[in-house]
Amino acid sequence: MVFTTLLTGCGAFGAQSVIGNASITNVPVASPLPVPQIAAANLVNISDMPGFDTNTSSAIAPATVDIGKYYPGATAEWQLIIHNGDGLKNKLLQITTEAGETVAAIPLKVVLANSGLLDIISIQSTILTLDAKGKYIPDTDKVEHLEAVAYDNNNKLLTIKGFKPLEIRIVKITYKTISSFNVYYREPSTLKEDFDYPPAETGTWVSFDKPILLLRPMENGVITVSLTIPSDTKIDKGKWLFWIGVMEKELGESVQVATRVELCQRILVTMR
Amino acid sequence: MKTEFGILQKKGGEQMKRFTRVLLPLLIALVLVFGTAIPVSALTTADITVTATPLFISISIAQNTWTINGIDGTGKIATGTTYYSNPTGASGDVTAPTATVIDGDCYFLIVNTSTVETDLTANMGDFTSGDAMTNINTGYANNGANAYGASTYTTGAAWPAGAVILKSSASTALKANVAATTNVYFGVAIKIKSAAFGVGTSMTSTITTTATDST
Repeated sequence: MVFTTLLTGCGAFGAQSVIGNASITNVPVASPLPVPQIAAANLVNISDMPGFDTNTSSAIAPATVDIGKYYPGATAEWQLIIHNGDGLKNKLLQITTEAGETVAAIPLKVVLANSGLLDIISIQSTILTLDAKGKYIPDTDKVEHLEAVAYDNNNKLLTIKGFKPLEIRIVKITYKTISSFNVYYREPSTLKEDFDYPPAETGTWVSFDKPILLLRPMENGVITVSLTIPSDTKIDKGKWLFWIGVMEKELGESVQVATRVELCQRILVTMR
Repeated sequence: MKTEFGILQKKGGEQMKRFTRVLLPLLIALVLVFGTAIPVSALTTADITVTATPLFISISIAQNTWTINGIDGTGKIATGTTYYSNPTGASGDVTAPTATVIDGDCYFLIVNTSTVETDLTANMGDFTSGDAMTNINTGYANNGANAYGASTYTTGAAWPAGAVILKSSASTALKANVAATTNVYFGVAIKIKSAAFGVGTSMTSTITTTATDST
Protein backbone atom coordinates (compact mmCIF):
# COMPACT_ATOMS: atom_id res chain seq x y z
CA MET A 1 0.00 0.00 0.00
CA VAL A 2 1.28 3.43 -0.87
CA PHE A 3 0.41 6.52 1.16
CA THR A 4 0.78 10.08 0.04
CA THR A 5 0.03 12.88 2.45
CA LEU A 6 -2.00 15.56 0.77
CA LEU A 7 -3.22 17.85 3.41
CA THR A 8 -3.79 18.43 7.04
CA GLY A 9 -5.74 21.09 8.84
CA CYS A 10 -9.30 22.05 9.54
CA GLY A 11 -10.57 23.24 6.23
CA ALA A 12 -13.08 21.99 3.74
CA PHE A 13 -12.37 19.03 1.53
CA GLY A 14 -11.85 20.00 -2.05
CA ALA A 15 -10.44 18.35 -5.13
CA GLN A 16 -6.71 18.04 -4.66
CA SER A 17 -3.96 16.89 -6.90
CA VAL A 18 -1.20 14.57 -5.90
CA ILE A 19 1.55 16.62 -4.31
CA GLY A 20 4.23 14.09 -3.56
CA ASN A 21 5.56 12.24 -0.61
CA ALA A 22 5.59 14.22 2.58
CA SER A 23 6.92 13.74 6.03
CA ILE A 24 4.55 13.89 8.98
CA THR A 25 5.74 15.40 12.23
CA ASN A 26 4.34 14.78 15.66
CA VAL A 27 2.95 17.66 17.66
CA PRO A 28 5.07 17.92 20.81
CA VAL A 29 2.82 17.71 23.80
CA ALA A 30 3.64 17.97 27.47
CA SER A 31 1.49 16.11 29.90
CA PRO A 32 -0.52 16.80 31.93
CA LEU A 33 -2.16 19.86 30.38
CA PRO A 34 -2.10 23.11 32.34
CA VAL A 35 -5.33 23.86 34.12
CA PRO A 36 -7.14 26.86 32.63
CA GLN A 37 -7.51 29.77 35.01
CA ILE A 38 -10.38 31.62 33.47
CA ALA A 39 -11.97 32.32 36.83
CA ALA A 40 -9.09 34.52 37.89
CA ALA A 41 -9.73 38.21 38.46
CA ASN A 42 -8.43 40.96 36.22
CA LEU A 43 -9.69 39.29 33.08
CA VAL A 44 -12.30 40.32 30.66
CA ASN A 45 -15.24 38.19 31.60
CA ILE A 46 -15.98 35.40 29.14
CA SER A 47 -19.65 35.68 30.00
CA ASP A 48 -19.52 39.20 28.56
CA MET A 49 -18.34 37.78 25.22
CA PRO A 50 -21.11 35.59 23.83
CA GLY A 51 -19.77 33.13 21.31
CA PHE A 52 -16.19 33.18 22.55
CA ASP A 53 -16.01 29.83 24.31
CA THR A 54 -18.47 28.12 21.98
CA ASN A 55 -16.56 29.16 18.88
CA THR A 56 -15.49 26.23 16.71
CA SER A 57 -12.53 28.33 15.54
CA SER A 58 -9.69 29.53 17.72
CA ALA A 59 -10.20 32.93 19.33
CA ILE A 60 -8.32 35.40 21.51
CA ALA A 61 -9.51 38.08 23.93
CA PRO A 62 -9.41 40.86 24.67
CA ALA A 63 -8.86 42.21 21.18
CA THR A 64 -7.15 45.35 22.47
CA VAL A 65 -5.47 46.26 25.74
CA ASP A 66 -4.97 49.91 26.69
CA ILE A 67 -2.08 50.77 28.96
CA GLY A 68 -2.34 54.30 30.30
CA LYS A 69 -0.02 56.63 32.21
CA TYR A 70 2.86 54.32 31.52
CA TYR A 71 6.47 55.28 32.30
CA PRO A 72 9.86 53.51 32.17
CA GLY A 73 10.33 51.50 35.34
CA ALA A 74 6.65 50.60 35.58
CA THR A 75 5.19 47.19 34.83
CA ALA A 76 1.88 46.48 33.16
CA GLU A 77 0.52 42.98 33.36
CA TRP A 78 -2.54 41.58 31.65
CA GLN A 79 -4.03 38.28 30.71
CA LEU A 80 -4.59 37.03 27.21
CA ILE A 81 -7.30 34.40 26.91
CA ILE A 82 -6.97 31.84 24.16
CA HIS A 83 -9.83 29.62 23.11
CA ASN A 84 -9.16 26.48 21.14
CA GLY A 85 -11.75 25.69 18.54
CA ASP A 86 -13.21 22.27 17.95
CA GLY A 87 -9.73 20.82 17.48
CA LEU A 88 -10.87 19.10 14.33
CA LYS A 89 -8.14 18.46 11.84
CA ASN A 90 -8.19 16.73 8.51
CA LYS A 91 -5.58 14.58 6.95
CA LEU A 92 -5.84 13.78 3.27
CA LEU A 93 -3.97 10.81 1.96
CA GLN A 94 -3.77 9.24 -1.44
CA ILE A 95 -3.83 5.52 -0.83
CA THR A 96 -3.18 2.86 -3.46
CA THR A 97 -4.17 -0.70 -2.59
CA GLU A 98 -2.63 -3.81 -3.96
CA ALA A 99 -4.28 -7.10 -4.90
CA GLY A 100 -6.19 -8.59 -1.97
CA GLU A 101 -5.48 -5.62 0.29
CA THR A 102 -8.46 -4.51 2.37
CA VAL A 103 -6.91 -3.43 5.67
CA ALA A 104 -4.14 -0.90 6.25
CA ALA A 105 -2.35 0.74 9.16
CA ILE A 106 -2.16 4.45 8.35
CA PRO A 107 0.59 6.60 9.90
CA LEU A 108 -1.54 9.33 11.48
CA LYS A 109 1.35 10.58 13.62
CA VAL A 110 -0.58 13.13 15.65
CA VAL A 111 -1.53 13.32 19.31
CA LEU A 112 -5.23 12.64 19.55
CA ALA A 113 -7.23 14.55 22.14
CA ASN A 114 -8.10 11.42 24.09
CA SER A 115 -5.54 9.09 22.59
CA GLY A 116 -8.05 6.71 21.06
CA LEU A 117 -10.54 5.78 18.40
CA LEU A 118 -13.12 8.15 19.88
CA ASP A 119 -11.07 10.99 18.43
CA ILE A 120 -11.49 9.69 14.90
CA ILE A 121 -14.55 11.59 13.79
CA SER A 122 -14.94 10.34 10.24
CA ILE A 123 -13.16 8.61 7.37
CA GLN A 124 -14.25 9.38 3.83
CA SER A 125 -12.97 7.77 0.68
CA THR A 126 -13.13 9.03 -2.89
CA ILE A 127 -11.98 6.44 -5.40
CA LEU A 128 -10.25 7.99 -8.39
CA THR A 129 -10.05 7.18 -12.05
CA LEU A 130 -8.11 8.72 -14.92
CA ASP A 131 -9.99 10.84 -17.42
CA ALA A 132 -9.12 11.25 -21.09
CA LYS A 133 -6.66 14.06 -20.31
CA GLY A 134 -4.76 11.93 -17.84
CA LYS A 135 -6.16 13.74 -14.82
CA TYR A 136 -7.47 11.90 -11.78
CA ILE A 137 -11.17 12.49 -11.21
CA PRO A 138 -13.61 10.93 -8.71
CA ASP A 139 -15.11 7.63 -9.86
CA THR A 140 -18.70 8.02 -8.76
CA ASP A 141 -19.54 4.43 -9.66
CA LYS A 142 -17.28 3.04 -6.97
CA VAL A 143 -17.96 3.41 -3.29
CA GLU A 144 -16.13 2.00 -0.31
CA HIS A 145 -16.99 2.33 3.37
CA LEU A 146 -13.93 2.64 5.54
CA GLU A 147 -13.91 2.04 9.27
CA ALA A 148 -11.28 2.73 11.89
CA VAL A 149 -10.76 -0.42 13.93
CA ALA A 150 -7.64 0.25 16.02
CA TYR A 151 -5.25 3.01 17.02
CA ASP A 152 -1.69 2.29 18.09
CA ASN A 153 -0.97 5.23 20.40
CA ASN A 154 2.72 4.41 20.68
CA ASN A 155 3.41 4.33 16.97
CA LYS A 156 0.54 6.67 16.02
CA LEU A 157 -0.85 4.17 13.55
CA LEU A 158 -4.53 4.06 12.65
CA THR A 159 -5.80 0.75 11.31
CA ILE A 160 -8.58 1.10 8.76
CA LYS A 161 -10.57 -1.68 7.14
CA GLY A 162 -12.91 -1.75 4.16
CA PHE A 163 -10.52 -0.92 1.30
CA LYS A 164 -11.21 -2.21 -2.17
CA PRO A 165 -8.10 -3.87 -3.62
CA LEU A 166 -6.32 -2.39 -6.62
CA GLU A 167 -7.78 1.10 -6.38
CA ILE A 168 -6.42 4.60 -5.94
CA ARG A 169 -8.40 6.88 -3.66
CA ILE A 170 -8.24 10.04 -1.62
CA VAL A 171 -8.97 9.33 2.02
CA LYS A 172 -9.97 12.15 4.32
CA ILE A 173 -9.52 11.39 7.99
CA THR A 174 -11.11 13.87 10.38
CA TYR A 175 -9.88 13.67 13.96
CA LYS A 176 -9.66 15.66 17.16
CA THR A 177 -6.28 16.67 18.43
CA ILE A 178 -4.65 18.77 21.13
CA SER A 179 -3.58 22.16 19.81
CA SER A 180 -0.36 23.92 20.66
CA PHE A 181 -0.46 27.72 20.50
CA ASN A 182 2.69 29.82 20.28
CA VAL A 183 2.51 33.30 21.83
CA TYR A 184 5.04 35.95 20.86
CA TYR A 185 5.79 39.64 20.52
CA ARG A 186 4.79 40.93 17.09
CA GLU A 187 5.72 44.11 15.23
CA PRO A 188 2.47 45.76 14.17
CA SER A 189 1.57 45.72 10.48
CA THR A 190 -0.97 48.49 10.83
CA LEU A 191 -1.27 51.50 13.12
CA LYS A 192 -4.07 53.33 14.88
CA GLU A 193 -4.57 57.04 14.52
CA ASP A 194 -2.29 59.02 16.86
CA PHE A 195 -0.28 55.90 17.73
CA ASP A 196 3.26 55.31 16.49
CA TYR A 197 5.27 52.16 15.86
CA PRO A 198 6.86 50.75 19.01
CA PRO A 199 10.41 51.49 20.12
CA ALA A 200 12.83 49.05 18.54
CA GLU A 201 13.58 47.30 21.84
CA THR A 202 9.94 46.60 22.73
CA GLY A 203 10.26 42.91 22.02
CA THR A 204 12.83 42.63 24.81
CA TRP A 205 10.50 44.39 27.26
CA VAL A 206 7.59 41.99 26.77
CA SER A 207 7.49 38.66 28.60
CA PHE A 208 5.07 35.78 29.01
CA ASP A 209 4.51 33.39 31.88
CA LYS A 210 4.55 30.66 29.24
CA PRO A 211 5.25 31.00 25.52
CA ILE A 212 3.23 27.94 24.50
CA LEU A 213 -0.24 26.87 25.52
CA LEU A 214 -1.63 23.38 24.98
CA LEU A 215 -5.38 23.17 24.73
CA ARG A 216 -7.85 20.38 24.21
CA PRO A 217 -10.81 20.94 21.86
CA MET A 218 -13.04 23.80 23.05
CA GLU A 219 -10.78 24.50 26.01
CA ASN A 220 -9.76 27.99 27.16
CA GLY A 221 -6.37 28.96 28.52
CA VAL A 222 -4.66 32.05 29.87
CA ILE A 223 -1.29 33.61 29.15
CA THR A 224 -0.08 36.37 31.45
CA VAL A 225 1.76 39.06 29.52
CA SER A 226 4.00 41.69 31.08
CA LEU A 227 5.48 44.91 29.75
CA THR A 228 8.39 46.26 31.75
CA ILE A 229 10.61 49.02 30.39
CA PRO A 230 13.86 49.61 32.29
CA SER A 231 13.69 52.80 34.34
CA ASP A 232 16.69 54.36 32.63
CA THR A 233 15.12 54.06 29.19
CA LYS A 234 14.18 57.21 27.33
CA ILE A 235 11.00 56.91 25.27
CA ASP A 236 10.42 59.71 22.78
CA LYS A 237 6.96 58.53 21.74
CA GLY A 238 3.83 59.64 23.52
CA LYS A 239 1.54 56.96 22.10
CA TRP A 240 2.67 53.74 20.50
CA LEU A 241 1.41 50.24 19.95
CA PHE A 242 2.53 46.71 19.45
CA TRP A 243 0.94 43.31 18.93
CA ILE A 244 0.97 39.98 20.70
CA GLY A 245 0.70 37.20 18.15
CA VAL A 246 -0.99 33.85 18.73
CA MET A 247 -0.59 31.09 16.19
CA GLU A 248 -1.22 27.39 16.31
CA LYS A 249 1.89 25.36 15.87
CA GLU A 250 2.40 23.86 12.42
CA LEU A 251 1.85 20.18 12.10
CA GLY A 252 4.83 19.92 9.79
CA GLU A 253 2.90 18.60 6.84
CA SER A 254 4.16 19.35 3.38
CA VAL A 255 1.64 20.82 0.96
CA GLN A 256 2.21 23.10 -1.98
CA VAL A 257 0.50 26.16 -0.50
CA ALA A 258 -0.82 25.91 3.02
CA THR A 259 -2.80 28.53 4.90
CA ARG A 260 -2.39 29.50 8.52
CA VAL A 261 -4.13 31.91 10.82
CA GLU A 262 -2.49 34.37 13.17
CA LEU A 263 -4.60 36.18 15.76
CA CYS A 264 -3.07 39.33 17.20
CA GLN A 265 -3.91 41.23 20.33
CA ARG A 266 -3.24 44.95 19.98
CA ILE A 267 -1.56 46.78 22.86
CA LEU A 268 -1.99 50.55 22.96
CA VAL A 269 0.53 52.31 25.19
CA THR A 270 0.05 55.90 26.30
CA MET A 271 2.97 57.37 28.19
CA ARG A 272 2.51 59.49 31.30
CA MET B 1 -19.07 47.73 27.50
CA LYS B 2 -15.68 48.47 28.94
CA THR B 3 -14.06 46.32 31.56
CA GLU B 4 -11.06 47.41 33.49
CA PHE B 5 -8.46 45.32 35.12
CA GLY B 6 -5.23 46.01 36.95
CA ILE B 7 -4.66 46.34 40.66
CA LEU B 8 -5.54 50.01 40.77
CA GLN B 9 -7.42 52.22 38.39
CA LYS B 10 -6.65 55.85 39.04
CA LYS B 11 -9.64 57.77 37.83
CA GLY B 12 -9.22 61.03 39.68
CA GLY B 13 -8.31 62.19 43.12
CA GLU B 14 -11.71 61.67 44.66
CA GLN B 15 -11.97 58.04 43.62
CA MET B 16 -8.42 57.42 44.73
CA LYS B 17 -9.14 58.83 48.17
CA ARG B 18 -12.25 56.69 48.45
CA PHE B 19 -10.25 53.66 47.46
CA THR B 20 -7.56 54.39 50.03
CA ARG B 21 -9.94 55.12 52.89
CA VAL B 22 -12.68 52.59 52.28
CA LEU B 23 -11.88 49.90 49.74
CA LEU B 24 -8.24 49.29 50.55
CA PRO B 25 -8.85 48.32 54.20
CA LEU B 26 -11.71 46.15 53.03
CA LEU B 27 -9.51 44.47 50.45
CA ILE B 28 -6.79 43.87 53.04
CA ALA B 29 -9.35 42.36 55.36
CA LEU B 30 -10.58 40.06 52.61
CA VAL B 31 -7.05 38.94 51.84
CA LEU B 32 -6.49 38.18 55.50
CA VAL B 33 -9.70 36.17 55.61
CA PHE B 34 -9.35 34.26 52.38
CA GLY B 35 -5.58 34.02 52.17
CA THR B 36 -4.39 33.49 48.63
CA ALA B 37 -7.84 32.81 47.23
CA ILE B 38 -8.11 36.29 45.78
CA PRO B 39 -6.18 36.54 42.54
CA VAL B 40 -4.01 39.63 42.36
CA SER B 41 -2.20 41.13 39.43
CA ALA B 42 0.73 41.79 41.68
CA LEU B 43 3.15 43.01 39.08
CA THR B 44 1.12 45.85 37.67
CA THR B 45 2.52 49.12 38.92
CA ALA B 46 -0.04 50.96 40.98
CA ASP B 47 -0.25 54.27 39.18
CA ILE B 48 -0.72 53.05 35.64
CA THR B 49 -3.95 51.83 34.10
CA VAL B 50 -4.62 48.65 32.17
CA THR B 51 -8.02 48.41 30.55
CA ALA B 52 -9.72 46.27 27.96
CA THR B 53 -13.04 45.82 26.25
CA PRO B 54 -14.59 42.33 26.20
CA LEU B 55 -14.33 41.81 22.46
CA PHE B 56 -12.57 38.94 20.76
CA ILE B 57 -10.87 38.07 17.51
CA SER B 58 -11.49 34.82 15.69
CA ILE B 59 -10.96 33.82 12.09
CA SER B 60 -10.42 30.58 10.25
CA ILE B 61 -9.85 29.77 6.62
CA ALA B 62 -12.18 27.30 4.99
CA GLN B 63 -9.54 26.07 2.54
CA ASN B 64 -6.26 25.30 4.17
CA THR B 65 -4.37 24.25 1.10
CA TRP B 66 -4.05 25.23 -2.53
CA THR B 67 -2.44 23.16 -5.21
CA ILE B 68 -1.43 25.73 -7.79
CA ASN B 69 -3.15 24.92 -11.08
CA GLY B 70 -4.96 22.20 -9.20
CA ILE B 71 -8.46 23.62 -8.95
CA ASP B 72 -9.37 23.04 -12.58
CA GLY B 73 -5.98 22.13 -13.96
CA THR B 74 -3.66 19.18 -13.68
CA GLY B 75 -1.70 20.44 -10.70
CA LYS B 76 1.42 20.75 -12.84
CA ILE B 77 2.87 24.23 -13.17
CA ALA B 78 4.97 25.89 -15.85
CA THR B 79 7.71 28.46 -15.40
CA GLY B 80 6.84 32.07 -16.16
CA THR B 81 3.11 31.38 -16.03
CA THR B 82 0.61 33.27 -13.92
CA TYR B 83 -1.93 31.16 -12.03
CA TYR B 84 -5.00 32.24 -10.13
CA SER B 85 -6.82 30.54 -7.29
CA ASN B 86 -9.94 31.07 -9.34
CA PRO B 87 -12.54 28.30 -9.19
CA THR B 88 -14.42 29.76 -12.16
CA GLY B 89 -11.40 29.38 -14.42
CA ALA B 90 -12.30 26.75 -17.00
CA SER B 91 -8.85 26.28 -18.43
CA GLY B 92 -6.53 25.26 -15.69
CA ASP B 93 -6.48 28.09 -13.19
CA VAL B 94 -5.05 30.54 -15.69
CA THR B 95 -8.16 32.70 -15.85
CA ALA B 96 -7.93 36.09 -14.19
CA PRO B 97 -10.76 37.20 -11.92
CA THR B 98 -13.52 39.38 -13.29
CA ALA B 99 -13.06 43.15 -13.53
CA THR B 100 -14.97 43.57 -10.30
CA VAL B 101 -14.07 40.51 -8.29
CA ILE B 102 -16.94 38.25 -7.26
CA ASP B 103 -17.07 35.53 -4.61
CA GLY B 104 -16.83 32.89 -7.31
CA ASP B 105 -13.40 34.16 -8.38
CA CYS B 106 -12.04 33.50 -4.91
CA TYR B 107 -10.88 30.13 -3.70
CA PHE B 108 -10.21 31.13 -0.11
CA LEU B 109 -12.85 32.06 2.43
CA ILE B 110 -11.97 33.74 5.70
CA VAL B 111 -14.65 32.80 8.19
CA ASN B 112 -14.73 35.73 10.55
CA THR B 113 -16.52 35.39 13.88
CA SER B 114 -14.71 38.29 15.52
CA THR B 115 -16.88 40.61 17.56
CA VAL B 116 -14.74 43.60 16.69
CA GLU B 117 -13.89 45.28 13.40
CA THR B 118 -10.62 43.87 12.08
CA ASP B 119 -7.82 44.38 9.60
CA LEU B 120 -7.04 41.18 7.71
CA THR B 121 -3.53 40.88 6.30
CA ALA B 122 -1.93 38.07 4.34
CA ASN B 123 1.75 37.31 3.88
CA MET B 124 3.28 34.51 1.84
CA GLY B 125 6.71 33.07 2.48
CA ASP B 126 9.28 31.66 0.13
CA PHE B 127 8.75 28.27 -1.47
CA THR B 128 11.14 25.75 -0.02
CA SER B 129 12.03 22.18 -0.89
CA GLY B 130 12.02 20.97 -4.46
CA ASP B 131 12.42 23.89 -6.83
CA ALA B 132 12.56 26.74 -4.33
CA MET B 133 11.31 30.23 -5.17
CA THR B 134 11.69 33.38 -3.13
CA ASN B 135 8.95 35.98 -2.96
CA ILE B 136 9.94 38.92 -5.16
CA ASN B 137 7.62 41.10 -3.04
CA THR B 138 6.47 43.28 -5.95
CA GLY B 139 3.27 41.54 -6.95
CA TYR B 140 1.90 39.01 -9.40
CA ALA B 141 3.04 40.86 -12.53
CA ASN B 142 6.68 40.25 -11.73
CA ASN B 143 8.97 37.31 -11.28
CA GLY B 144 12.65 36.53 -11.31
CA ALA B 145 14.84 33.65 -12.33
CA ASN B 146 14.17 31.97 -9.01
CA ALA B 147 11.58 34.32 -7.57
CA TYR B 148 7.80 34.36 -7.78
CA GLY B 149 5.47 37.32 -7.54
CA ALA B 150 2.04 37.19 -5.96
CA SER B 151 -0.97 39.38 -5.21
CA THR B 152 -4.31 38.92 -3.51
CA TYR B 153 -7.75 40.02 -4.61
CA THR B 154 -10.99 40.17 -2.66
CA THR B 155 -14.66 40.30 -3.55
CA GLY B 156 -15.70 43.74 -4.72
CA ALA B 157 -12.20 44.90 -5.57
CA ALA B 158 -11.28 46.06 -9.06
CA TRP B 159 -9.03 43.73 -10.98
CA PRO B 160 -6.17 44.30 -11.51
CA ALA B 161 -6.10 47.80 -10.05
CA GLY B 162 -7.34 46.67 -6.66
CA ALA B 163 -4.91 43.79 -6.26
CA VAL B 164 -2.81 43.84 -3.08
CA ILE B 165 0.84 42.81 -3.29
CA LEU B 166 1.35 39.61 -1.34
CA LYS B 167 4.73 40.04 0.33
CA SER B 168 6.69 37.69 2.51
CA SER B 169 6.04 40.10 5.39
CA ALA B 170 4.44 43.48 6.04
CA SER B 171 1.92 43.27 3.22
CA THR B 172 -0.76 45.92 3.03
CA ALA B 173 -4.04 44.75 4.51
CA LEU B 174 -5.83 42.25 2.32
CA LYS B 175 -9.01 43.86 3.56
CA ALA B 176 -9.08 46.67 6.11
CA ASN B 177 -11.81 47.58 8.55
CA VAL B 178 -13.79 44.39 8.11
CA ALA B 179 -17.00 44.60 10.10
CA ALA B 180 -17.50 42.14 12.95
CA THR B 181 -18.71 38.67 11.95
CA THR B 182 -18.26 39.41 8.25
CA ASN B 183 -16.65 36.76 6.08
CA VAL B 184 -14.17 37.67 3.37
CA TYR B 185 -13.48 35.81 0.13
CA PHE B 186 -10.04 36.21 -1.38
CA GLY B 187 -7.93 34.78 -4.16
CA VAL B 188 -4.26 34.67 -5.02
CA ALA B 189 -2.53 35.38 -8.32
CA ILE B 190 0.99 34.03 -8.60
CA LYS B 191 3.60 34.27 -11.32
CA ILE B 192 5.98 31.33 -11.24
CA LYS B 193 9.73 31.85 -11.49
CA SER B 194 11.26 32.09 -14.96
CA ALA B 195 14.21 29.72 -14.62
CA ALA B 196 13.68 26.09 -15.55
CA PHE B 197 12.78 23.64 -12.84
CA GLY B 198 15.69 21.50 -11.88
CA VAL B 199 14.46 19.11 -9.22
CA GLY B 200 10.92 18.58 -10.43
CA THR B 201 9.52 17.79 -7.02
CA SER B 202 6.93 19.68 -5.04
CA MET B 203 7.86 22.90 -3.26
CA THR B 204 5.91 24.34 -0.38
CA SER B 205 4.93 27.72 0.98
CA THR B 206 2.48 29.13 3.51
CA ILE B 207 0.01 32.00 3.38
CA THR B 208 -0.43 33.42 6.86
CA THR B 209 -3.55 35.50 7.39
CA THR B 210 -3.46 37.84 10.35
CA ALA B 211 -6.41 39.41 12.10
CA THR B 212 -6.18 42.33 14.48
CA ASP B 213 -8.44 44.99 15.94
CA SER B 214 -8.78 47.93 13.53
CA THR B 215 -10.99 50.23 15.58
